[in-house]
Amino acid sequence: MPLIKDKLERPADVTRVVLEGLCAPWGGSRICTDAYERSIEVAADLQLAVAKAVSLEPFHSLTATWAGMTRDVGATQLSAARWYLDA
Amino acid sequence: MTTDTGFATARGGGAPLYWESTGTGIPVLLIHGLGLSGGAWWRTVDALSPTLRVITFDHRGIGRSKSLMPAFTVEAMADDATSILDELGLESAHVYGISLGGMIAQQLALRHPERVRSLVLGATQPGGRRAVRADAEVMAFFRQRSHLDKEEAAWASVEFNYGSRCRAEHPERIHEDIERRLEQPFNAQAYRAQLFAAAMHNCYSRLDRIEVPTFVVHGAEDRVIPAANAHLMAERLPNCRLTVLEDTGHLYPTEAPEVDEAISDFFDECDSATI
Repeated sequence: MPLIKDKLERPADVTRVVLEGLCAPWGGSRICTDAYERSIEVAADLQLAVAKAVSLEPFHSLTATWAGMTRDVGATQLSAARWYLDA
Repeated sequence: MTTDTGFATARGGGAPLYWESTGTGIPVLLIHGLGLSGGAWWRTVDALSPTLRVITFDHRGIGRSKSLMPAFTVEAMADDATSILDELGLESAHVYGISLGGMIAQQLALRHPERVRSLVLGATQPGGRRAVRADAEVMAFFRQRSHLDKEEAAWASVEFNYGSRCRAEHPERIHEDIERRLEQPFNAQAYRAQLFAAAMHNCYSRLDRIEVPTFVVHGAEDRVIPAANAHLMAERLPNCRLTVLEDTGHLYPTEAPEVDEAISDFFDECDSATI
């Protein structure tokens, strides 16, 4: 098990260093992931607001579902990014 | 004591979410774990409802709640919890999550901190690279569980969910749990979606942002989510109390029901401090 763990963690550490480097000009990885999370929330909230404003089907249901997908896809991306970024 | 029931509408998709509310007083939202409905909280509801308003609900796709999506995240389930609070007209509540429910409770405290008065994280983990995973035998069982017959799966899970002391000294409690569990339909699709959500859960690096008082409870013999995770969370959470229950496995509310008293006292302390 330790051998497998070592093999898995080395590429992960390389990825972390690369991601940290990419985020450095914008204040670091924590600021970048927080900003991305906030943008996802804003996008999902906007889509929900549109869905609430328009009761016409199937537009209403599609927009509300799309808002949920925006949140879930974004959350999955952020979870993966944070996995790599956790030192 | 009477129990009110109803349905809330999930944010972003509109699936109906079934809830139950028992008792009066300051509200406590209970969030259950993988594959189980809100009804699985029956022991805790009985223990807390004499002094608190206890709210349980069925996760999307589980029990009487529906899901319109084939896959979902812990974040989505945290938003579902706020939909329940919205439906009941509650600005905030104490939040108590166990196992997957504890992961949802962490997300709830991070995404909607104003809705959480205090937090109890039972038998759960913070996610991320540092979280300590279950051993291979346990992981293999939970991956295969959705392909097993419901009753067969419930009994096969006993050796993983309950500690050796409970299995030896209180088999009647395990029978009661399983009888209750089998009353609810099992949705294999929702179960797999919950497994995915749990696998993608990752709050570790943000736990230091949870400012509300937090009580971490864990069974020392937990095989599903090893107790090392409780220590990991307690180190990161700024306002945290930790209790590790000796000779106790994953489903500690069954194995050590006396812990409900400590949890009730914790909620009382939090309320006294904020008045």
